[in-house]
Amino acid sequence: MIKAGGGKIINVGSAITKKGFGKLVHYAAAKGGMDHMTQSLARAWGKDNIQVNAVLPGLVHTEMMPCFGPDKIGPVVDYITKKSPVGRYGMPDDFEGLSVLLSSEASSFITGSIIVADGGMTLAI
Amino acid sequence: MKIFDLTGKVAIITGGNGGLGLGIARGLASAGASVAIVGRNADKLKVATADLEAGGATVLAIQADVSLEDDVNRMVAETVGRFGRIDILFNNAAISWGIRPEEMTLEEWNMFLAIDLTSCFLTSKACYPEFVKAGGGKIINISSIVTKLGHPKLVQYAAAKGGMDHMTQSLARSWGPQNIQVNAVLPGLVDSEMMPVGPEGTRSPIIDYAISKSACERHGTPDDFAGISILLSSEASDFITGSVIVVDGGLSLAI
Repeated sequence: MIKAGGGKIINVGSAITKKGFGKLVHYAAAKGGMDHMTQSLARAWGKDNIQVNAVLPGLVHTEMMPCFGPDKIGPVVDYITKKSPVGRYGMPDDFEGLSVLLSSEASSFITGSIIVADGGMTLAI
Repeated sequence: MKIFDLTGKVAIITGGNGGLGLGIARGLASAGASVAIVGRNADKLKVATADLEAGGATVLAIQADVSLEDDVNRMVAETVGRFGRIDILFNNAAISWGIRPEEMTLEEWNMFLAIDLTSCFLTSKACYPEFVKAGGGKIINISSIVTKLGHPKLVQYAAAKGGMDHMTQSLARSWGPQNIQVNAVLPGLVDSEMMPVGPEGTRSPIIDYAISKSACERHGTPDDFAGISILLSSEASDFITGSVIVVDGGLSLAI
C-alpha cells in the first residue's frame, strides 16, 4: 500500500459488538478487537494515506449463518426478520455498495469509522 | 454502477444553498437525481442554483425556514408540484456558534433546538406521505462528531445533534415497514460557511491542531460527502438503516 501511494483496509466485523450474546463470547471478543484495531490502525497509518474502516453486518445469509434451505439456523432467523426495520435478512449483494464506497477515492475522508449495516437489527433486538 | 443510479429520483436538501449541503446536492445530481435545495437566504439560493445548473443539474430552489411548519409543508408541496414525487430527504440545515451554557438564554436554547432538531421532525413528517406514495424513501440526517465528544460552548448544538442521532435510530424502526431507511452522517472539520477553515497560515490554532491530529491529516471539503450521500440515497443502501456514520477523517478518534 505504501508503494501504491495509499490503500484501503476494510475489516468486516459484526453487529454483535453492539450487543451481548451468551454463547458467542469468543466471537464477540475477536470482533470487538477488530473494531478497536480499526480505529487505532486508522491513526497509525493515516500518514501513509491508508484509510481503515470496519463494516458490521447483522444477519446475512452465508455459509456461516444459513437463513434458508436445509441448514437454516432455526427460529432466530424468523425472530430477527420480524424485528428488523427492513423486515428481512441480508444477502451478500447488500454489501456491494458500501464495499465500493470504502474501496474508492469517494471515501478518502472516511477513516476509523465503524459502520453498522444490519437492516436496523441491533436497534430492535 | 447501477446500484448507485439516482435517475428519476427526487431529493430535498435542506441547507442545500451552501457549504456541505451544496456538496451533497452536487453529488446527488451527478448520480442523476433532481434536487430541491432549501434555504432562508435568497441570494445564496440563486448562487447555488447557478452553480448546480452549470454542472448540468435539474434544480428547484425553495426559500423556506425549516423550523416553521408552514414553510416545511410548502417546501414539500413545491417539490411535488415541480417533480411529482420525493424519494430522498437530507436534513442538513443547521446553525451553530459557541455560547457558554451559564450565559445562554432560554430563547437562544429554543432557537438552536428549533432549527437544528425540530426541523428534522417537521421535514421528515411532511415527506413521509410522499415516501409512502413512492413505495419507500431515504432520510439522511447530517449530525456532527460533537455527539462523540464534548464541547464546553456547544451544549445546545450537541444536545440537538444527539437528539438527531437517536431520532435516526428510532425513525428507522418507525418507518422500516414502509421501506424508508433512515441514517445519520457525522461530519468532523469541514471547510464550510459554518466552519470556515481559511487559507494555510491564517488559520486559528484550533484548526491547525485538528488537522494535525486527524488520521487523514487534512480537513474535509463539501465534496468529500458526495460518495456517502449517493450510497445512502440509492438502493445500494437498502440494508443500511438506523446507522450513525462518522465521516471525519479520523478526527474524533484523536482528540
